[in-house]
Amino acid sequence: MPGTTSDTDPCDVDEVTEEQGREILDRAAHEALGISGDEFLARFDRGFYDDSDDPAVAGVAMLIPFAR
Amino acid sequence: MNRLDHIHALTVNNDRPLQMRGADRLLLWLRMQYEIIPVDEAGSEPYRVTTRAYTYEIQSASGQAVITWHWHPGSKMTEPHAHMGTTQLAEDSVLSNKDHIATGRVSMESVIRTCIAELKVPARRDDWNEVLALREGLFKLHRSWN
Repeated sequence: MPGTTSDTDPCDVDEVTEEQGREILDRAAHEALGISGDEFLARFDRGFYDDSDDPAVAGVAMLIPFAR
Repeated sequence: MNRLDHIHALTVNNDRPLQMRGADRLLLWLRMQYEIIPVDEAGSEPYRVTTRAYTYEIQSASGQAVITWHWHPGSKMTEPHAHMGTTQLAEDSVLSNKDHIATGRVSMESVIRTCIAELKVPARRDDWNEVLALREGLFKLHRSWN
């Protein structure tokens, strides 16, 4: 807005490839749940987490579109 | 590719928490899902972006959750809610980290407002209130849930 003071930097947007997306999911699954991204996807698809109320699971599931 | 009929994921800072300024050295961690949808209204842009899920988390300087806001309607818990971080819970607390505390839909802008207005994170621009109000206004105008 005119007349305002800001020290913000320009914001870059990176569009990741599916491979990079899978790496993001893999890292998150390892850090949050101690499993690989592939294992998380397999468990998710077979309904392993259907009754889960674990915030960590929800956080990793947020990244599933990166891998598909 | 940002194609239609597909839900996309979005992270900030390469999915690492953002270091915020201020004495408490708080961190902000954001993940979202969004979809690009067509808009069939005269005079409007042909497409807009709508949020499909989110997780916003304020963390302590050590990376422990202070509070987390979730909305992930594709899961067992379909309503938006918050989790209190373990750093904010005493041993005899009634609440636990896994309890779902009901909220309305929460915008990223309102989380940033909480950081600045409530948690004393210094803003990086002096018109932060106007900027957030403008973006929140658009959020309220286009939200499809209310």
